[in-house]
Amino acid sequence: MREGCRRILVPEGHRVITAESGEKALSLFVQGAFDLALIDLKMPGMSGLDLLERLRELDPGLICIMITAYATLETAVQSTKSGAYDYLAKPFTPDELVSVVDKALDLHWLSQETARLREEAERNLLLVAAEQSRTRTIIQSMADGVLATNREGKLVFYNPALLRLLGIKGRMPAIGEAPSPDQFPAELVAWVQEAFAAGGRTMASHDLPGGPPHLAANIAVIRDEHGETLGVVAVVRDITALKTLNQRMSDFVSMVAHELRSPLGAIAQYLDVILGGITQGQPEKERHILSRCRERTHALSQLVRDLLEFSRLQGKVPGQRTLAPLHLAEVIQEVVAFASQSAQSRKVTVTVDLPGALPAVEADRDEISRLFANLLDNAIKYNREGGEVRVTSWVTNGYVAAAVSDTGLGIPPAALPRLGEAFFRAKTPATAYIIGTGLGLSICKQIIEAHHGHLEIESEEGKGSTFRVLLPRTTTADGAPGA
Amino acid sequence: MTSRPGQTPSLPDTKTILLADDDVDFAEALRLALETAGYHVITAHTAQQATALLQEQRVDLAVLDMMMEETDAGIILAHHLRRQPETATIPIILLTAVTEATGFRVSLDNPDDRSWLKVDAWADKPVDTTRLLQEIRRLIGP
Repeated sequence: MREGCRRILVPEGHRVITAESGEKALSLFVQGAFDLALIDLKMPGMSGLDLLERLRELDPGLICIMITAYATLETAVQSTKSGAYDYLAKPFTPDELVSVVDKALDLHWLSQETARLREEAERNLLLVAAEQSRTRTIIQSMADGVLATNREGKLVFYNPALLRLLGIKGRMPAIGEAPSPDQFPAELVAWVQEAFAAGGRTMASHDLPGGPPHLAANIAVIRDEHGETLGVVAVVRDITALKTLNQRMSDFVSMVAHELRSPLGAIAQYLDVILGGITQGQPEKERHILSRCRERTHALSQLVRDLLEFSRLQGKVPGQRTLAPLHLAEVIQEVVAFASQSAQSRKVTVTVDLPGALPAVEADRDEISRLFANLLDNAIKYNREGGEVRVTSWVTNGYVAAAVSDTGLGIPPAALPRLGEAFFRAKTPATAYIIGTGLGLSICKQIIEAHHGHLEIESEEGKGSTFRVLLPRTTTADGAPGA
Repeated sequence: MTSRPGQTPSLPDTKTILLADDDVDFAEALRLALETAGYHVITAHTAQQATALLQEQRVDLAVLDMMMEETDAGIILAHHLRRQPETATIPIILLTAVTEATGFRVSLDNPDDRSWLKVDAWADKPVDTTRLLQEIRRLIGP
């Protein structure tokens, strides 16, 4: 029988190993890899059913076909219940044998393939899930708002940032429904619909009306590999800071333009007057006019100088300053000497009261020089004729302080909070003819702030003003008093 | 008859012009030109001063700079003048650089915006004195 089966199956291309008993079969089985076992139900020693069970324990994937005589048909049926794939009743023809074996092997191959494909599918699903999870985490943590709609214009997803930026509270927008104009800005809904309908351009950018916060939306169409529209995604960004910055820059440029225009306008108008012959025969008038023209021209170049200084300070990165131990007394003496001519022409006396040994400050010499030059310039300019300017210095609480006081016109209380604003000048009838760039104090403030110092201003209209500068003293040996 | 700058007008029909501009030199130059043309000119450097002067004196025409102590101070002043019955009929000329109408977002190129402003004429700085005088003559006579 065994040989008979082998002789039939081998020409069919099968590899056949025979065993004369259950035990022999088992020992052969563990030594090799088998796809199919043909088992005679009735065997001496271990029965066919026992062998079946043992083999199935060892390899649940093994296909077992029971060979039976009619007398044991019921057992054969029972063995199918025990895990045999099929049975073959004796006597059987070679064709029947081949057919059963082939069918069983096909099934075996199919089920293995199925298992393999299922495993692969599971692995892929896990990968996709992991990828989705990562993508979702990214989208959920983004600061920008995201929403996507599908082919039918229904919401597919959105993230917490979107709700926050659009101020959507209470009921969460429903996935699977079109974004409602009750919750979403009508313009945004319209743009999403437009993008979907237009199909052509892939991305468009819009500014949402209203705000703050000012928002911008980037709308993009999602397509598949055939170019079919799958949906639309919109990313919403907060551009408030950018807008504010742009507005400030635009305002500053406007202010500068105005500041430049005023002196030019005045000079042009004055020249018209002279050239028009209006001051014909009035030489003092003409002298006065020409003198004012010259002063305005001078103011223009000062303005240009201050603008450059202002811009330079704005753009300065902290590391670009040359900080070194500096004794304020030195700088102040220099600045006072430089301003002596201007003081003299206004008959203003400048007195300096600086103690001998004051600690140094860690500072940029050029900038500190500029700081005191501006303060002194103001003190002289806004002073009364024959007035006084006093400069003093002292130590207090870890700071070196210096004050510039004048007996000048003083500053109206309403103007005090605005001092230091770019181009702001406190205008009173008394100061109408005084020319200033309006940037001087702004520059002072920037220099002081950059050096981690403080500026204090005290003023009384009609009496005078005091500007106090406090700069942190150095703590290095170089800064020791008298060093 | 023309009156020399600085002299009090002696003729009763000399027209008085209020000139408001925060730039003292510009105001001075314009004042000289207008007085040489025969008008009596009173000057203010802030909208506040201008309002005070208008309460004290009768004025035949106002020439206002658009930007004084505040942006659009001139426009605001013009608006107020139109609102008070005593000053509603005084012709107003606004001095401006067209791009400076930022506060009210007004474009002086736009005829609709201009009609809302309710001024009678505009002059762009620097001012062409001849044209300005033509406008003034058109509005109030010599």
